[in-house]
Amino acid sequence: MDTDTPDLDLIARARQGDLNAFNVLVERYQTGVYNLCLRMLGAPAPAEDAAQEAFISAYRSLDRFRGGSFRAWLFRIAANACYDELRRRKARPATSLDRSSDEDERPVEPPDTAPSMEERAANVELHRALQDALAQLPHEQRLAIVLCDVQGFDYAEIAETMRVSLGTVKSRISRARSRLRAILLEQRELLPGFIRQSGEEQ
Amino acid sequence: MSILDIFSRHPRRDISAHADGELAPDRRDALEAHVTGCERCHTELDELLAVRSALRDLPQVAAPRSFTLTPAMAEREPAPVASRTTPSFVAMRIAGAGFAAVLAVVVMLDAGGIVDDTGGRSSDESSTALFDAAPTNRDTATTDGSGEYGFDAAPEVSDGDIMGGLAGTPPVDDDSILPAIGGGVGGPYGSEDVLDGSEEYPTLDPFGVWQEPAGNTTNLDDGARPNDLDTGDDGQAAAPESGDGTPIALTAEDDGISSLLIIEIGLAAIAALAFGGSFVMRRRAQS
Repeated sequence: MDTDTPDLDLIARARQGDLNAFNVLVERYQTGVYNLCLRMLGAPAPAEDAAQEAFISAYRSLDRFRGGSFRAWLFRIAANACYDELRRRKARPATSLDRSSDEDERPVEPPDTAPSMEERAANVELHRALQDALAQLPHEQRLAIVLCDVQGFDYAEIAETMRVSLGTVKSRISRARSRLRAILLEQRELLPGFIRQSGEEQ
Repeated sequence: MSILDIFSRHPRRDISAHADGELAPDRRDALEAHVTGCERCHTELDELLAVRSALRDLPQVAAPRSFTLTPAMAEREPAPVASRTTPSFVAMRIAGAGFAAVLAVVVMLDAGGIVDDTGGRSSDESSTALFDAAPTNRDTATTDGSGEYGFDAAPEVSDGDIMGGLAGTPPVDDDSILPAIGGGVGGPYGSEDVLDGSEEYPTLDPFGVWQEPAGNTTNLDDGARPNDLDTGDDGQAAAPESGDGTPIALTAEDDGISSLLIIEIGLAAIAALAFGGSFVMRRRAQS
């Protein structure tokens, strides 16, 4: 099957029971879905589970897809899977807070391509700081900023994914960025030079 | 409001949207003009751009495995993702329903109490007792204006079983807190001291709402609740009188009960809305 086949054609085939057609969609979006879950949940294992649940749920819910952006619809399902996991964590605070004792909660350590050891270490620290800062955001703000800055969605697609107005998207992203900035400014030594300098001037 | 007015304060939301290139051209031009002249916003834009850049530099992590579906997965029972009902969600709905039910019972009980009180007030005996009590109280109060007033007045009025359910907040005059004690012990009333319109006893109760124009007094005898209370600009009002010119004791309790009822109905409505809202949220989550 041609990997360039449009989403809507694959969806039509999948609705008729063609699992292979749906799996083409899975392969097309699985990196994005997994990274969304990873940034929302902060650890690989639950992100993996949430991503898998999202694809299963999407396949079983294909009849409810009413057109528009399939990516927005799919990412909305993935976001709901993440919300479910976050709610389960909230219901089990003893396990969710004790992350170091949970082998499944491995920290996010993305591959690094920095040329030098120093830069590599700095990037790892920065990425950890960013992930920790993301974890401090309210879920809705976290989703909005991840969709915008990590996934590269525009505001209209974020609004479609989150089923909110453009104004709400704008507000959530603005608040998320401001909060991230404040959190990161408390760790200036980790930040890119520009933020560090401007923070010291204040 | 002109476009310049929009930027009379620091437009944080627009700065963030500008960083994403999501501002309409007119707003973008205005923002750029503002940022040029505002050091604070200029700094904020630079910092937000740096945060945005750092987030965008986060690498896309390769999926640890393929998420393609097997036939077994495709035939699996609906995933938990489809279910948005959590224990806390259920608890919230149950709590909302219980709260609404309790409020409904309280409102119904209160409504029954008002009917009873109104009926009691409409009886000739009760009215007579009230009117009889008024001069007695007035006499007592004007005689010495002392603490005897409250304690003497309360039993006489309560014997008449007038507005018993409406008691509890007697008027406070300039003398002391003693009328409040009388109301607290015997229910009503101690308020009759204000009915003679004398200078010694102010006619304004703590709520400033108890008087009724003389023309409405027949309605009171018919059992109607005293509404449209007449309060002057200075907070003083003409003392209401009955048909034969006898002053009538009207107090704020009626109004207090009405307010309570309104508050309770409002709370019940809020609880109902919360319950309905949770139901709608559940339906939307399932869609």
